[in-house]
Amino acid sequence: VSYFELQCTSHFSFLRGASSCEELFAHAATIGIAGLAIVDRNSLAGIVRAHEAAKVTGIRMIVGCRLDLVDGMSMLVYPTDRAAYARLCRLLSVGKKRGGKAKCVLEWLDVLEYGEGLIAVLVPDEADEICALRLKRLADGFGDRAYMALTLRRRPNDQLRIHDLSNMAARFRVPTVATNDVLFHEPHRRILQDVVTCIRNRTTIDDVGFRRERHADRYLKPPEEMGRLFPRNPEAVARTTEIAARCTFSIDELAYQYPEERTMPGLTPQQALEKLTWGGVKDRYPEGLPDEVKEKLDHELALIERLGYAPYFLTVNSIVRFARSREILCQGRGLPPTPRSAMSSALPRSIPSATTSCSSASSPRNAASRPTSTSTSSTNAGKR
Amino acid sequence: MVGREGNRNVVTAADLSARSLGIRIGMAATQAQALVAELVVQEADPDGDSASLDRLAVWALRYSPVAAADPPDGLVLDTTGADHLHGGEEAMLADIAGRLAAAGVRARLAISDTWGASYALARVSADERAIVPAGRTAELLAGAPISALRLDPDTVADLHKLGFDTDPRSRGGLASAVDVAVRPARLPPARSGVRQGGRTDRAVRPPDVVEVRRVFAEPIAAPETIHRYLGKLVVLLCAALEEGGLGARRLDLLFGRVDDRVWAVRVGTSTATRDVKRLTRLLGDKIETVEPGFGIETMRLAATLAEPLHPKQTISSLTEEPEADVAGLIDVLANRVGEDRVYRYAAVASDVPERAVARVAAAALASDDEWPAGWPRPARLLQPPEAIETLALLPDHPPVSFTWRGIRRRVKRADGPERVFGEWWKAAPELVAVRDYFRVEDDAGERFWIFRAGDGENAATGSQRWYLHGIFA
Repeated sequence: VSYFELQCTSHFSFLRGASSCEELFAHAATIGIAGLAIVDRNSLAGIVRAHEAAKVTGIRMIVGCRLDLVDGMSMLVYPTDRAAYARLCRLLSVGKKRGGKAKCVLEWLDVLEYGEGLIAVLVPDEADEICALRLKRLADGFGDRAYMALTLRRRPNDQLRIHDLSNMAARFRVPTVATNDVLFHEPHRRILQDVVTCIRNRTTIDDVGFRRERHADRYLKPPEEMGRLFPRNPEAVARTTEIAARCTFSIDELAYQYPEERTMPGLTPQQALEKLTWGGVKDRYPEGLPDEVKEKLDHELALIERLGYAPYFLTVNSIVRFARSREILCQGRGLPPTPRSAMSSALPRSIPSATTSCSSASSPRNAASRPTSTSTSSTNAGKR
Repeated sequence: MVGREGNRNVVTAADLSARSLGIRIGMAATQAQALVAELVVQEADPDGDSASLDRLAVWALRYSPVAAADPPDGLVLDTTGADHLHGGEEAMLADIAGRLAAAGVRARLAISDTWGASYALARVSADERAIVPAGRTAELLAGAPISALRLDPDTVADLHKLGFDTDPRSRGGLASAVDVAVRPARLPPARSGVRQGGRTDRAVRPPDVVEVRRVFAEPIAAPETIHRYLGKLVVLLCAALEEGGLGARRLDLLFGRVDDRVWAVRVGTSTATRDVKRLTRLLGDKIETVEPGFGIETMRLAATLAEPLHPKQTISSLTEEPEADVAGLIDVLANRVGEDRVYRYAAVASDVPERAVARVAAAALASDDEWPAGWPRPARLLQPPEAIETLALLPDHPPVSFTWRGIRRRVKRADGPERVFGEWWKAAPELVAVRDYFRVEDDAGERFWIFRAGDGENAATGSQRWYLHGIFA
C-alpha cells in the first residue's frame, strides 16, 4: 500500500502543531509513508524546513496550505505547478495584509480568484447542510481539482459520519481522500499539544476544557494501518497517491529571480551589455584595444552570459550613470584583494564596485548565492 | 513564652517539644533556661493574645450566632440549631478544623451538651474532634482529670493534695465533700460541672451587622406570639436592609430567655434577599424548635451575612415571560433537610465520563460548559464500572459477545471506538491511560456502553480488560 499523508500540521502553525518538520519526516521514513504534505494554517512558513527534511530522509514532500476562511470553511490547497504556487503566495499575502499581524482574512471569492492550478480538499465537520453547501461551492469552483477529506476522529458515530460524508461527496461527484489530520508525529506528543493549546487559549490545563483538541489519534500512522482504518473507502486511501502525482511543484523550482531591467529595445540584456561594453571600449582605449584586455573581456562576457548576470550589470550601469549625471561621487564597495576587472573600465564611465564581484564570481561554486547580496547593495547605492 | 507574674518571670506557654523536655507552665523562667540550654524564649503578650482570640471569635460567627472568646486559649460556640447549615456536627467540626489548619492554627474541638463538658473534652480527649451524643455527657466526663475542669490552678493543686485526680462528683459519695472543697475557691459550681453554664454575656457580636431587636415587658412563650413578633421583626429588618442596599444570605434569630440563656435559630438563603414573606416563612419554620423555658424577654434578628442587592426592573409580561423564581423553594428545602442535600448537576468540560458531571449549589449560576450535543450518552452510569467477559478482535473491534452479571449477550450492532484519554495533568497513571468506548446493542435490543481499558495495542495504556459502564434508556 502506498500512502501519502496529506494533512500534517507542523509547529509552524504556531501553538497548534507539536512536532517539527524534521521529526515528522524522520518518523514518516521509519513507518514507510511515501510522502507528507505540510499544511500549516494560512501559512507556507514550514515548507522550507520540510523541503530540507524531505531531502535528508528521501521522503517526498508536497507543498500545501490549510486555508481557514472567515465563513468557517476549512480547506487544504496544494499547488500543482510553479504558477499555482505563485498564486497561492499572492492569495496569502492578500489575506495577511487584510488581517494585520498574525491574522489572515480570506473569503471564498479570494480563493476562487487565485485558485487556478490549486488542488482543493474540503475539510468537513459533519455531513450536514453547511457541508453540502461548501462541497457544492468547491465542486463548482475547482472542477476536477476538488476533493473531500475523510478523517477518522475516534468519536461516537464515527463510521456513520464517514459513510454519510462519502455518500454526500458521491452525490456532488467529488472524490474523497483519506487524511489523518496529523498534529504530532508520535502519540506521546499529545501532552505537549495540550500544553500549547492552553498557551494559545491563555488558560491553564485545568480550565481549558473542551478547547483541547478533542479528536483522538492525531499522530502519523503507517500505510497498512490507514488501509485498515478505512476498510470501506480503499479508494480514498489510494487517492492520496493520485493527488501526490498531480502536485508536480517542488521548491527546487524556485530560484532567485532578478527584477527585470530595462534594456535597449530589441536586445536581450546580454546583447545590450555587450553593445555597451564594446561601445565603452572605444572611449576608454581611443588608440586601440590591447589584445590582453580584449581576451579578458571576452572571457568575462562569456562568464556573465553563462551565469545570466547581464541585467545586474545593466542596473549598476544605470545607477552609476545617474550618479555621474548629478555629480554624485559614486564609490562602490567590493572585495579588496580582487584584481580590477576589465569590465569596470570597459563600461561607459566605469563601474568600480560591482564588477569586482564579477571577477570573483569566476569561481562558479560560490557564484549561485552571490548576486542576491550584491543586488541589495546596489539598491542601497541607488537610494544614496 | 515567658511573662511576668508578680515580680518574677515564669513560663506562661510552652510548645510540645519544650514540654517533652520537662518545661512546665508556671515554672520560673530561669529554671527553664537552666534545664534546656537552647531554649527559645519569647516575651508573652497577653493583651495581643486576647485581642487575637476576640478576632477569632468574630470569625467563628460564621458557624454559630453565639460565639465567645474563652481566654486564654479557647473559643466557645453555641451551635444549637446551626450545625445543619454546615452539613451536620461532624462536617462542621471538620470544616472548622480545616479552615483553622489552613490558617496555621492546630485546634482541638469538641461538641457536647454543655460548655464545661466541651471544655474538658477539647483538652483531654484522645480524639482531636470529639462529639458527645446528647445525654451522655456525664459518663464521658467520669474519667476526666481535675485539671480539665475549669478550676483555677490553686484549686486544682489543692484537690491534688487531697488525693483527687478525677472529678469527684462523678463518684456520687464524695460529691458533697468536694462541693465544700470547691466552694471556697469562689467558683460557682455551675461553671465547672455537668450542669448548664449560661455565660453568653461575653458572646461577641460581629461589627456592622444589620440587627433589629425587641424587648418584651412581659416574657412571651406561645409559638403564635413568637410568630407574630417575628413577623414584625422581619419587616423592620428588611427595611433596614433596603436602606443599605443589602440582601440577607444568613439570618440569626436570638431569643433571650428569662433564665439568661440564649436560644438561637439560624437560616441561610441561596441568594441575597430581603423579601419579607420569604424570610418570615423560613424563620417561622424553625420556631417550633425553640424552647421558651420560663419565657422569652428579648428577640434579636440579625442579618449576619449580607450581600449587596440592588432593585431590579420587573419584567413586563408584554415582551418577556418572567422566569419562575425557585429560590424560595430551594431555601425552604435547604433549611429543612440540609444545604448539602439540595443540589443540581452541572456539566463539566471533561472527556472522562465520571468527571463530566459535578454537583453544584442549587442556586448556582449556569456554567458555560455543555455536554457535546449529538454524542449518545447512557442514561445511567454504573459507579464503578462492572467487569465483563468478552470475545473481541484486537486492536479496535467491538466484542462479538459479552457476559455481564452472569448473562451472556450477543452483540448485534456496535459503534466505536470512542477513544478517551486519561487526563494526564490529574494523576501520573493517566499520562498514558486510554479507554476505548463502544456502544453495543444485543439481540434483545438493549443498548450498553462498554469500554476496554487500554487501546488494544500498547500494554501500557491499560489492563486491556473490558467493563460495562452504562446502560442506555
